[in-house]
Amino acid sequence: MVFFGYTNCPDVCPTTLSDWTRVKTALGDDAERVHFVFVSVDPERDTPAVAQRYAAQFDPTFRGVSGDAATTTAIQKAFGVASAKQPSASAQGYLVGHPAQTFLMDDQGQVRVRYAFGAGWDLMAADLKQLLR
Amino acid sequence: MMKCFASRNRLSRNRPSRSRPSHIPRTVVLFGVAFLAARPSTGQATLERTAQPAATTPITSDSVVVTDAWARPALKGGTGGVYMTIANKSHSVIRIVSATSALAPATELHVSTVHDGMAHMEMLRQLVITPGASVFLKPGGSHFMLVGLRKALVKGDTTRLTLRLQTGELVLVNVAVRTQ
Repeated sequence: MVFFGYTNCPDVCPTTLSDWTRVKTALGDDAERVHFVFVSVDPERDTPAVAQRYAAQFDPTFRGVSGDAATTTAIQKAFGVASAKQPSASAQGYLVGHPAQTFLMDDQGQVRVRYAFGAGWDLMAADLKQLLR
Repeated sequence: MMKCFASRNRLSRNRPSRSRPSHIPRTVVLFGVAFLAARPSTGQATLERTAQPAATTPITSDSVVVTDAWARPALKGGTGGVYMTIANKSHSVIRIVSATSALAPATELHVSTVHDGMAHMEMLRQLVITPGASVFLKPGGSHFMLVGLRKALVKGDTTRLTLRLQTGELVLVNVAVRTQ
């Protein structure tokens, strides 16, 4: 499972990763066969350590990764998505527009399902169970 | 190259959290302009009043009823999102112009939107609630943002948010920290 976000995001990102924790619980032992990966699209602020700490607060097995700007752009390109810094009067300095979907990939590296934000942890869990059968 | 299940997208719009009896009425307008510029001084004043409830400014309101206020756990130094339902029980329009929390140097009002697969946030200047209406601050929509948390939001804890109305009235809200 792959999601692109940023650690200063208080809404869409934590909502998604929170959903993932329910997916993981629903999978039971099968969860060991699934990697949950949060990819930061804000490498300027999210160091690899920050991204990892952020993801792990939801579940210690979740991985948070961050790369340099070029790597981040390349990964997003491979997934057909993009992100953008948005200037804002927020105390955060800037906000980040980011992909809202969760990507379910198989062990061959193929995207099998792309879930819209809010699609539901139960749908994700059901699909994963079927794929892991 | 990638499959996109349109039916799922549709389904997502009909999830329980989105099918409450009422959604934000169209007449409730969320203005997308920053309200923070004058914040530091007003924030300070609000916090002082919060600490001294005996002050003349009312700290509760019969006209504003807040229910189901909650926040997800968040790390110290990070950003928190606070959700709630705010009902306007009065006969006049209510405008919530700011919010403060002792937990964060800045509390902002934002709205998330998801369009063409992209999530964006926009800072709002105020929340306008027409008489008799309710606004639902919920995941994927409007929320208060706690920027630069002085301490972590821990599941099971309760924290407090102070809403400030345009009239100067303050509404204290107890916010439960929970995962969903």
